[in-house]
Amino acid sequence: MRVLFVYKYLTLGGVETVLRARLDGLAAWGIHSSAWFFHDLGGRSLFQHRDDAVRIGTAAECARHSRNFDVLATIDTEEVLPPLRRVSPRPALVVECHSPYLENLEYLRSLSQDSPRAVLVPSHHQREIVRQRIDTPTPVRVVPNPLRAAFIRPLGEELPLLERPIVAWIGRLDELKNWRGFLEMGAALLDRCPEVELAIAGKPVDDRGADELLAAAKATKTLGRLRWLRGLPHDRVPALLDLVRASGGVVVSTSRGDSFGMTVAEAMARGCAVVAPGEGPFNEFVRHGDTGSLYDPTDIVDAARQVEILLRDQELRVACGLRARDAILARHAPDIALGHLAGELRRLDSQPA
Amino acid sequence: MLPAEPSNRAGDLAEEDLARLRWELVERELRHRVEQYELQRELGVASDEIARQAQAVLTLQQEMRTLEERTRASGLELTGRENEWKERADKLSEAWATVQLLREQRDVAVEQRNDVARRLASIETTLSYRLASAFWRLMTRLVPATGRRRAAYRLVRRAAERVVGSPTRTVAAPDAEPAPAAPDLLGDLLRFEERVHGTGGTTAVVIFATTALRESEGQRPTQIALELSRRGIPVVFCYWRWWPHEWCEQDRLDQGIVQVPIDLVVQRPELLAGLLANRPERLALFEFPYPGFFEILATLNAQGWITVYDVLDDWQEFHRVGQAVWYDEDFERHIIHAADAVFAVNAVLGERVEELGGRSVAVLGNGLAPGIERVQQPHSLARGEVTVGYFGYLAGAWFDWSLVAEAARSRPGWMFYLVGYGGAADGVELPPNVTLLGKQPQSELAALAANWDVAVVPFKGERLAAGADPIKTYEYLAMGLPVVVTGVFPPPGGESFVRRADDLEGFLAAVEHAAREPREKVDARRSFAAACSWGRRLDDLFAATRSGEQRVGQKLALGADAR
Repeated sequence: MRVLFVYKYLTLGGVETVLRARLDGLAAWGIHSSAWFFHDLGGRSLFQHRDDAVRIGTAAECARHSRNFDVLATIDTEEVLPPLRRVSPRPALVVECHSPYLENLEYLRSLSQDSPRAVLVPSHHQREIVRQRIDTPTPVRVVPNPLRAAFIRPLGEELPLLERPIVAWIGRLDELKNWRGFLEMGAALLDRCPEVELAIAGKPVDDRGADELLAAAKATKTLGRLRWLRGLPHDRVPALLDLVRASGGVVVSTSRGDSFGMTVAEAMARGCAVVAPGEGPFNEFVRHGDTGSLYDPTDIVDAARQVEILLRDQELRVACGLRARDAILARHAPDIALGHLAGELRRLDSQPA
Repeated sequence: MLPAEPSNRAGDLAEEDLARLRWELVERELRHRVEQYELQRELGVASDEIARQAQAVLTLQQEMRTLEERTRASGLELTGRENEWKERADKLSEAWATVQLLREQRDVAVEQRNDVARRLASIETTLSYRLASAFWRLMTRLVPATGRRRAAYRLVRRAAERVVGSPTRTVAAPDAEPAPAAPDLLGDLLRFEERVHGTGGTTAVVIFATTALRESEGQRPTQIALELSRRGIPVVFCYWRWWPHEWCEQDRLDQGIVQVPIDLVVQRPELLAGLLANRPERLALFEFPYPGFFEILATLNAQGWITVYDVLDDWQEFHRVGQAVWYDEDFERHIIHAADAVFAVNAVLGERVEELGGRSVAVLGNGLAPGIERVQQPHSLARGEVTVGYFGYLAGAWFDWSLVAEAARSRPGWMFYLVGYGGAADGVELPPNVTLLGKQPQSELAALAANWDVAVVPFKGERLAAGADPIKTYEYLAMGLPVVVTGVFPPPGGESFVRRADDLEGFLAAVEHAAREPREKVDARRSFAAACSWGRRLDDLFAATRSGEQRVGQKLALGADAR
């Protein structure tokens, strides 16, 4: 079986890393996969030694090339659909829908003309969002996202406890991920636990981002306790999470919209205690009081309260972190998640068109 | 039976013995002759050998004489060459001094140019300039440089000049020579990286400095940059400028230093953060808490640079007295917290950093540049009963003009020499025994100070001065001078060489006492200063960061996976 994955941008980002894992891992299930990108923005190095399986070209070229495959899976890349309509014979079409930005999901409202075999999503929460938009009875299936190998390796010996617990927030500095909410939470937390350190690892989405962050940190009086890591390379994130764990700290998400919540899942994989909004998709894999804490998404002070509980109760924090790791690896370890994907692709390929 | 003829037999025996003895004698004689012959032969051989050796000795003696002559000649030549080399070394040293002097003059010229550019920029914003420019543009369009209209214009103009006289041109034509191009940040950094790429080494340093790299002013960031350069460590020297017209010559690339304006660097943080990525040890020294560093500090932190906040002044106090207008206490708290390590030049500033939330701040004093104490060219000054001197910045914010004036009035027999720049005795009348020598090249300072009995640091007893660790204190000591200070503190370990006074009487007493100190203390002062070199300071800095002190260990742990 041959599968072509299509994604717009070849960067050093998360989707590309997952694609590399797929190219390497799916072969074990007898699936030969390739990747097609429209624009090379400097991510070639991620596919070292797999140049044969990576192509860069236009949507039309991609559509023509897809004749050589049994399945074409688009990942948030609807641009390939119009030229694909003109291709015959056409591979089975699978639409993977990972974007949390609702404006990027509008194309689902006219998906019926492309007759996909299925829409694959990373969470039940995302499935509901897709179902609300899709205009066909096409099945929408949840396929777990694979964690990257660096996050699942053994935790190793604990680092010596740091002077101050680090409360970290990781993600893009945009409104949807709600970094302002983290600063507001941080302000409330510093009132209760003045010894903590706040850390943000993420990049702004535009030129004004840094000034806005500076102004917001000043306004919330968190600037003096904030450490910002702007554009932390992804290969350093596991080490950051290990530092958070060693500091007796917590990873917090204040996101208002995620299709899966990868940063929270990655933190769990590194044994960190996490605090996330008590809504989808987070409540699908964070069990309150067991594998982390959930807070009332309408009350940011509640988030601070949940963080404080974990900071003050070492036993709870460590136990939550270890259970979180077990739980997340049971479903999202690369071989398990890739097995799910392989099974799904085989099933869809065997379905009549 | 009778015995047979015994006497005959005895005679026979005697003859036989006699004959045997004769033969033995003959044999012995023969043997002796043979031996004699052989000895004579050997003697002959030995004599020949002696004669040959004697000849060889003669030859050797001859050779020795020749060699001695040559050695004498070589000695003479060597002495000649030695003298020649000494002359060349002197010339080289003079040439270096000239280079330094020219550099300092160039710096002054650049300052003046920047000042002119600044004034020009402010003129360009005036309404009259803009109107004049618009007029010239219009005239250029209406009356092109060639053609009949221009000829007609010239005729009219000449006629008008005959009537009202020739006007003096006061406004530059809009097509005058354009302002110098802005520094090319990307190009400069790329060229620099290419240049240092093959030089080996594992370390690179970025310095965010309050001033341009001016050796003549000898500021801490400059001295650190020069010391790093001496060690072969590439340096990106990011300098502050008030106006976009100000820029520095790229004149230290051969020393491994590239100079770029801070305002350009902070606009493109990735450019700097990605520089020299192949070097495992990259340090960024922030020499002041400018809020514009927010983004680049975060970028460098994310990209594995070890970030250091080097606290060299009480910026809050500068801000309070109307300087450091950019200062923001919230941001200083941030940089103290977000940097991997914080160093302060003295304990007073260290305590202040702790007040702002810092923990485990290390004191890293100022230092001494090599060679500052050498007198290049003697320069004599008139001496007083006691000759007192000062060199350095003369800013009214901390320089105590009143104290100097009062001290000079109280001791009219003393002479006070003030070498420096950056301020004047506004509102303070200086008595005639105070001489202002203006800004002098750094290479001249030792020659001037050689005339002094006591060197002073007369700063006001306020918070601003208390946070300073004047570099000049180390320089005075290196020149062998006793030092009297007010407002500031002696460097740690230097208390026996530096007297501190609190008021005029204390100051006068301390100077009198210092002037009487025995000559033997000169060496001790010099030794103390030598132990405070910038090299030692850098050793301490690197020792702290390499052993993961403060929060550097966290940074190293963060980069461990990526490496």
